[in-house]
Amino acid sequence: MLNYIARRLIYIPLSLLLVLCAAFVVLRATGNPIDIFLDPNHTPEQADVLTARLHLDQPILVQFVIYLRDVLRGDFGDSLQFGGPAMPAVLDRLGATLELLAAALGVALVLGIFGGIACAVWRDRTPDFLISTIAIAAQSMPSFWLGILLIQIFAVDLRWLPTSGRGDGWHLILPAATLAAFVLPNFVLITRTSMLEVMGEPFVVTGKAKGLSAAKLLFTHVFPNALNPILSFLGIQVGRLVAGSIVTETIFSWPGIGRLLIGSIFQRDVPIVLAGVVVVSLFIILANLIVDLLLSINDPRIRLG
Amino acid sequence: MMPAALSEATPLLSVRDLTVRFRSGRETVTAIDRVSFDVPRGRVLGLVGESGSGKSVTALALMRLLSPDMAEIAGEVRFDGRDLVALPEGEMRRVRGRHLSMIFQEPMTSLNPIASIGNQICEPLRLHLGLGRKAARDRAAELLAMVAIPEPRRRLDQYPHELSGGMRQRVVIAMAIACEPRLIIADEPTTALDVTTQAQILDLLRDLQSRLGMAIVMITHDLGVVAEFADHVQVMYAGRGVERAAVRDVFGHPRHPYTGGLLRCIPDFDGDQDRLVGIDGTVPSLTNLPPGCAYAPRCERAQDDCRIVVPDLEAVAPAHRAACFHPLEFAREVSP
Ligand SMILES: Nc1ncnc2c1ncn2[C@@H]1O[C@H](COP(=O)(O)OP(=O)(O)OP(=O)(O)O)[C@@H](O)[C@H]1O
Ligand SMILES: [Mg+2]
Repeated sequence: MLNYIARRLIYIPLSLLLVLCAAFVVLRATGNPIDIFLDPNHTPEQADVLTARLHLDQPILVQFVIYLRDVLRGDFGDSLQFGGPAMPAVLDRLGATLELLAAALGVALVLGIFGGIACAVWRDRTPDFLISTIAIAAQSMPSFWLGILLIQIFAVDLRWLPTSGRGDGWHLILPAATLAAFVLPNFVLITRTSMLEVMGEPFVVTGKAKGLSAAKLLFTHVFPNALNPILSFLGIQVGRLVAGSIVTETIFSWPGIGRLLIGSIFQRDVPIVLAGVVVVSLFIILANLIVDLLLSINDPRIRLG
Repeated sequence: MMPAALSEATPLLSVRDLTVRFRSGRETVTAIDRVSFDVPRGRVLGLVGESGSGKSVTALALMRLLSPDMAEIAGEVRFDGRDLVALPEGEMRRVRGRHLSMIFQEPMTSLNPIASIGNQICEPLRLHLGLGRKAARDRAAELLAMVAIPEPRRRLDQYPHELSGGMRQRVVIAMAIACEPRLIIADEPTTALDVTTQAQILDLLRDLQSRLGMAIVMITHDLGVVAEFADHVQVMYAGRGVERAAVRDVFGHPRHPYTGGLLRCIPDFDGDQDRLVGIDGTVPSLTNLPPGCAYAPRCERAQDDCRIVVPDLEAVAPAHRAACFHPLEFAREVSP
């Protein structure tokens, strides 16, 4: 078990290094930093000062090493919009994003798994037909459209819920529902498929031959085995969920990292974008590590193999 | 437990006209056609026949493990005085694993890969005998010792993938005997194992059978196993019973030409041949059975009547039945 965790941990710095490389390349490719950081009518003296400060006169490899060193110290430069250091500005928004992600993921997982189980249990009957059809239809629905629709119905027409912003629990409902709907259908379908696959395994017959009831069999033998593909899928979905949260935060003016990132891209606030990308990448890497851990807890073949 | 009237004389299991039809779309296929046999208490019945003859379906039907959506079961399965075919599912659950257990062919896939050996053996103990966690664990370790698994305590916390095929089959057997059932149905319990392991598992089963006084329905391709192990034999062909008698009689003077053919396929009874080969032709498909005796197209004794009417399984000698209009003569054609 410890061995397994250690093996997974090695990948974190590697993945992060890759992200930083990519960010560095993108950073340099977006244009000359002088033009980004200084206003258009800067003097040559100002440009020289900045060139020295950003080490732009050094060879590119040296620049990369300096960049890595700064990033490792948590120094992403100063935000153009806020003036202060970029990383704290990003971390300020982390809470809001985590809240949204947790709410959406919780709803999507619970409903998705129960929906998928229901489909598998009543395979090819009405509940399966209804849930599967809705899930397949919902899969092709763009989430910005759903978000706007929900705002129109529940905030504008019915006036039950606030249109945007973050405040009490009521503010969370619409954005969380929108984001949950973005990944929920996939969870329904993967749960259904993987439950049906396990239900056909011989050990399920063995369990039945022992005298287990259908419900007990389902929850103690079938579901734990069906959980592996669901968990692996969850790891893949985290990236999609984060991408979806950027759209959702923008629609609902949710003060999270996603909205900050979009705003900063338009403002060409490179330090914020860089810090944001690193935080989001770290989040995705950690989420995948947690998924791997859950997988190994659930499956002895991964843990011991 | 058992009413006095049903004591020694009545067989433990008495199957009458068991019929299983599978529905697939609009068609129905009769996989088992009016099969009847008895298993006396503490005795072993060998169920033999080529691949596809309906042995596994019979076993699953006895345990009522076929999904009612797919399979329709008719006939009577009287087990310890109760008709299992008519039993409500809730009561059937209390019979399965308690009084009637099953051992499956594939030890690689018949255990839950992510549950510990201990938990899987404890399950029936807790469910049927109401044992607590600790008591069930102790009993599970005893059971592992009974099936000759070394270091039983340590094995409890292991998982199926850490065990060899033979060890897994021992675990499956431990699970099946956990509640000391009266009858075990073993569906080719050794087919998936190598020869040495096969012999060990069979020895183990025989030893347990005599120690616990269980009856066994031993499903196998291997007539050598039947000869060594069984008291009675039921030979199946294309979903029908074709011959039924005591082992001595079936091996000494087989009456059905199919049985005769099967016996001629074994060079000697030491059983190093595990598949039945050597009869010309193949088993007919269930969807396309000939009108009369299903074996007629392959049978050298077949005559016109065989191709028109299905012969019933009738007495050809005391306690010896064969479904054949022109049975082999009572002669020592095949010597054991
Ligand atoms: N679920 C099912 N639906 C339709 N037909 C089935 C089903 N299960 C089994 N059959 C058919 O029933 C027949 C008997 O199959 P069965 O598995 O009992 O054979 P068997 O004697 O156990 O063979 P083997 O020695 O290969 O295990 C086969 O022709 C098979 O195709
Ligand atoms: Mg079979």
